Amino acid sequence: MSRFARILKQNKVFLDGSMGTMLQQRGLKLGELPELLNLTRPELVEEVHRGYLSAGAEILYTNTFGLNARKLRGSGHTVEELLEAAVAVARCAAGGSNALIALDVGPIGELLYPAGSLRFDEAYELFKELAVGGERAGVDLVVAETLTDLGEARAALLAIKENTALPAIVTMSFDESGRSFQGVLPESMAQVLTGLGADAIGVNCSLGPKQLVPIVKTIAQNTALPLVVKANAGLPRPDGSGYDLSAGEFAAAMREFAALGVKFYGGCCGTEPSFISAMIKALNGEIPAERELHPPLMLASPSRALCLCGHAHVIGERINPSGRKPMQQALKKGDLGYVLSLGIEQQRAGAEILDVNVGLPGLDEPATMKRLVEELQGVSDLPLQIDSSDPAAIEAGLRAFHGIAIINSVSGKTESLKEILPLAKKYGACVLGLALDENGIPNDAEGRVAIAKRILSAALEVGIPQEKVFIDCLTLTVSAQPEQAKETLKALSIVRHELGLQTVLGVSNISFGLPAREIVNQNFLAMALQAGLTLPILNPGVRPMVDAVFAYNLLADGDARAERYIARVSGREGEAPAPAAAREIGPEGLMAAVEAGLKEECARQAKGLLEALPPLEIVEIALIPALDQVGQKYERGKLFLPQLIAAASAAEGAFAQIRLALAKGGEARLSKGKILLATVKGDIHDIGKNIVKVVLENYGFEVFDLGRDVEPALVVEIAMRENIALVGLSALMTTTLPSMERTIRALKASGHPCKTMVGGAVLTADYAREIGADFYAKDAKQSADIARRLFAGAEERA
Amino acid sequence: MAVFIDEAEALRYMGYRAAPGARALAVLRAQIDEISPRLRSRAIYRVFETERTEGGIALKGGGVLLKGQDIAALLEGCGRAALLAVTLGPEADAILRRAQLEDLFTALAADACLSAAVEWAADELEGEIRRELAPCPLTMRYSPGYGDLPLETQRELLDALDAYRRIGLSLNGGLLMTPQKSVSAVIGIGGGAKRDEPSGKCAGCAARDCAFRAMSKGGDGA
Repeated sequence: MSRFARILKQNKVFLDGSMGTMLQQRGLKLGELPELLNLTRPELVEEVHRGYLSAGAEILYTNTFGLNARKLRGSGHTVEELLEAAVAVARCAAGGSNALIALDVGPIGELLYPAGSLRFDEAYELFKELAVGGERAGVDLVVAETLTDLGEARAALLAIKENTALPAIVTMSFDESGRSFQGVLPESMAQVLTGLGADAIGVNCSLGPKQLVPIVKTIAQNTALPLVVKANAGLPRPDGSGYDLSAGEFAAAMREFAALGVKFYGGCCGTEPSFISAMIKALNGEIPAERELHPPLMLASPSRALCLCGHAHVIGERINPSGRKPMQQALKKGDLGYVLSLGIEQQRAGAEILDVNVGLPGLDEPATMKRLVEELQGVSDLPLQIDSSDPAAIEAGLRAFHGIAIINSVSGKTESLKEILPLAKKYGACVLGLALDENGIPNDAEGRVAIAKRILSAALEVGIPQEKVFIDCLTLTVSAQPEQAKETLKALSIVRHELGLQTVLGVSNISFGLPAREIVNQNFLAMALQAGLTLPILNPGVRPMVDAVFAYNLLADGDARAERYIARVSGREGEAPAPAAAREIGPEGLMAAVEAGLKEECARQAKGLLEALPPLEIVEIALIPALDQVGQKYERGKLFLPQLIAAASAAEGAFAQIRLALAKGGEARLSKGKILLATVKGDIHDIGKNIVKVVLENYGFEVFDLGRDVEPALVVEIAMRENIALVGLSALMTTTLPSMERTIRALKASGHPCKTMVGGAVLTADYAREIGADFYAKDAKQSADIARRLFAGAEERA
Repeated sequence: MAVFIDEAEALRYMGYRAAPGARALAVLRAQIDEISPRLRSRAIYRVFETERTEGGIALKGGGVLLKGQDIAALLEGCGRAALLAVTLGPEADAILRRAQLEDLFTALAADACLSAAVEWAADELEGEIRRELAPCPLTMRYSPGYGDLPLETQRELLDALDAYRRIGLSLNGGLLMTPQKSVSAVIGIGGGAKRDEPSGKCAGCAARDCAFRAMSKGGDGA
């Protein structure tokens, strides 16, 4: 048995207090790296450890909180060197005692993408270096603490679990709002880290013991793991002179956690050995309460927890390229903007879970899944359902998603069970089992239930808890197999009421091939909900379908005081009809709508015009002239930037219609030339680039938008693959200009013949020339002028 | 802390130099209504003694060295200086990312609202510092990147405030503050402070090519 396993058998374990506070008392200055003291003044660090040891601490945290390769850049020291020194000091201090040594790992200090620029994989590598080093140096466990981003906590935990045999404790910090600075909920944190296999979890820092009680209570309800509390010495005093609790007050407040069944007790900022000894005395004789160890079933993102306990919830199905041309085109171009907006739309329409499928022939599905899941989390807080037939894509999605996901799907086939279930286990995901196997879909309910049972027992065998197994009893087309609808409903009812599992069903397939499909769909949905469907998969854009789910929740007594139902339908009576004063359909009407910035009117005009004119002609005779007019007024100072953007944004409304018509007619895409846009590596401000994108698209150019914080190598790769003639780069800050220069150099070095245009707040024409750009664009208007000149010239030469 | 979005300020950040149309105003007001209740600001400040050294003005015990002539001129006669930082947190960035995917004009309005909000929060914090330190005269607030105060100062400034731990504010590799809608600054304190007036006058600012200079009340680059 490991030393950690042994100490877990105790009903209480005492941790140490603050290292930073103690080192500051010994002369450590702000801005200095405390970890350097492991080398330069090991006796000071040892003194702190010994202080806590004699106060009664049973686990000592090494002086490595701020240690990582990023922070050491330019310091002349390596992680290995400081880590080994730190562990050696701690082990020396603990000599002769039974105290365990925990490698202390703090946050990297940068926000994770998309909030910041640090990538999950980079964070993982930094944590891996620490964990592996810690194991080599002989620590007993690793503690990742003071984390505020659940993604970062996942990176740390995965790095420890995948690269060492060490136990892992993860504690996060929350503020008075009950969330972390990054918006993480305690229930999400508890469910996710439990699912991912932490050995103990809890809270440290940011608040005093009193303020932490409600947070710890929530965590306790959402995990069966041992709990850790390492609280500050109260709240910081306003004058910056320290914290507001004395050792005695701290100790008394820490006692409260025994009633919550906490196992590990310690101190964070502001605590000293006297706090720890007082705490141990106060807890002497307390036996932590027995905990209820049946956490509710939750789907979660870091900032949203969705309890599956009563209501039916809609899974939005629209992020799926099969049969959806615009999404196929967007995925092929690597332009995720369109796909992301589908996520936002579905959330607004009432979806509570988003299905994510990027299966498209010729596409690198795992890589696309990873990228999409990363980006989607930046704009939507809904839990995801990772949908793929490729286990590698499923794993990529699960790894990138920082919540509790559903895997869509596993089936009763032996091969499928073998490949998919271990992924659900490893990442703590729920798994959706399809009631089919090697012999296809059974014709009767009994056959499907038998497969459901088989999937359930296989899942239990690999350690997936029963409540995380969901079943899809499969909808068959009623026009082809009229007797099947009732078999589906019967199977659904048994799976829900006898096996007690969550049920998932794609609804609209029922009406395939029938006229007035919505009538059949709505009724089938109502019947399925009544039979026990908890998670319908549907298109939330079809309002009556989502309405039916809300009405069902109301009627089935799942919606107390009709709050959710009323919130959904309120304000509908007042919905405005189309404006009466709209102009007659015609090129002039469209031009006026663009100039006035009326997006809906632009769409209406374009729709009308498309009945009489070919799509491209509308662009030539109305849209481009209107944009030119607006552009000229802007240049003459008659209009300002917001009006220019309003016009561009309105024209987009017309373009959406035109693109739809082109796709339907099977005509060539609208492309007057291909332009790549990117905000350079290190820079994450991209509103300027996005304005340029819309304006260029308005003029008929095909834009490949690589987003922000883009590696030079990716710009080169896409420019070559798509044979791009013009690359536009944006940077906001002087500090990211070198990144722009590197990108231009990389493009030149590749030999790919293309021009570069650059823009951004701090750029000037001179500087653009200096870094080798071909064009400098002061604003979006100029970038369109440059592109038009360039591509017109190309046509003439051709 | 809850934040306030001033409509006139937001219009200024949008780039209006004349009265906006009714529709634009409606979009902006809808954004103000939607965004305001969802925003909270977190703020932090700390006072240090200053020390003139060869390399610049050092903040004693803070590990910060303020380099450049402009900051030296500003802090002339100030025995102390306050470092401050305020952020709207990651939710503000998420609002902006979503808005950009939905509609560009709405995104422009949202961006302007958030800039106005973080400026307001910085003004509030500055007001609190002024009250706290009254009757000491204070200079305007001055941010890394203004004049010849290097942007690199940002890292020392945020480290001295322990800003990552205290309010969740960090820098990325390109020295950009993340979350984006954040303000950091220095304010000089003391008998010799030359301009005892709240921030917001262009005259004292060295950012002479700032787009808002002619018409603005100042700005921290938010």
